Amino acid sequence: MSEETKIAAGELVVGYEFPPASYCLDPETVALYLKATGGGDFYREGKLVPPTAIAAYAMAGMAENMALAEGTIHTQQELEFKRVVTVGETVTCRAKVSRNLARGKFHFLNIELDVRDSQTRPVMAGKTGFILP
Amino acid sequence: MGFELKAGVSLPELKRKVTQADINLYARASGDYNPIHIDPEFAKKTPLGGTIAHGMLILGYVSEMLTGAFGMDWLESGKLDVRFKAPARPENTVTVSGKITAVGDGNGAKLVKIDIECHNQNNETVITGEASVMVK
Repeated sequence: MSEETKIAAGELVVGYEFPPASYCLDPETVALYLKATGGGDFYREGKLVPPTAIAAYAMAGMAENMALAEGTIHTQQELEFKRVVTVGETVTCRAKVSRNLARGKFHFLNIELDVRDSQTRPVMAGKTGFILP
Repeated sequence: MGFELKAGVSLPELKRKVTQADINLYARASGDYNPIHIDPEFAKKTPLGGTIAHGMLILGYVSEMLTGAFGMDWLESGKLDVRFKAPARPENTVTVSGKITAVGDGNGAKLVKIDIECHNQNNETVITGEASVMVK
């Protein structure tokens, strides 16, 4: 999605659901994540996907559809891991606006994340908090 | 598990030096190419004065520390609730620490609650928050 067609984060309404995004967690993708974050022997030995990698992909899917203005601050992150995912699995990420509130000088935006595997079993849930300029 | 499971016990720390190369790699891995992370010329002109690491990159370090402490239990039942307090910058050394605050029983496992903190080499807090995990 081009920058022009993305929805401005401040205009998102509570309850808005982003289009679901599916990702195959192929070995190259996971290896790149592990190289960036360092360490990761536990994951490599078990061919496991770090749960924070899944969260990062879920957020990337959300960002594909949303224009965050310069000066936006990622202030808060909640994550709940529910199932271990192995390399090669495909997951589907859904995101929904749960709060969009201007109060005084601050504008708060919260987005809930829900990630499931190919059998729709819950993998991860989360909540992301931004303060918009 | 190389530590005692009781309130007050500190988990083994994790230290990582943040480099611009790691930040660039993380941008590729996550698809987050916000110029505040990867474009030094752009970032220099912002109030932050330079590039900063993705908050989720630092959160990856937190999860790495907790995976080291709790293994599969962390991956299957971990919960994190954190606030990003300050940015981590290239060449910062980030230390991730955790202290057990409570151990309770729940469904045949132990529910362990942990205070989490990340700070840089100047002792500035980068992330604070809480984690919990069901230890079987």
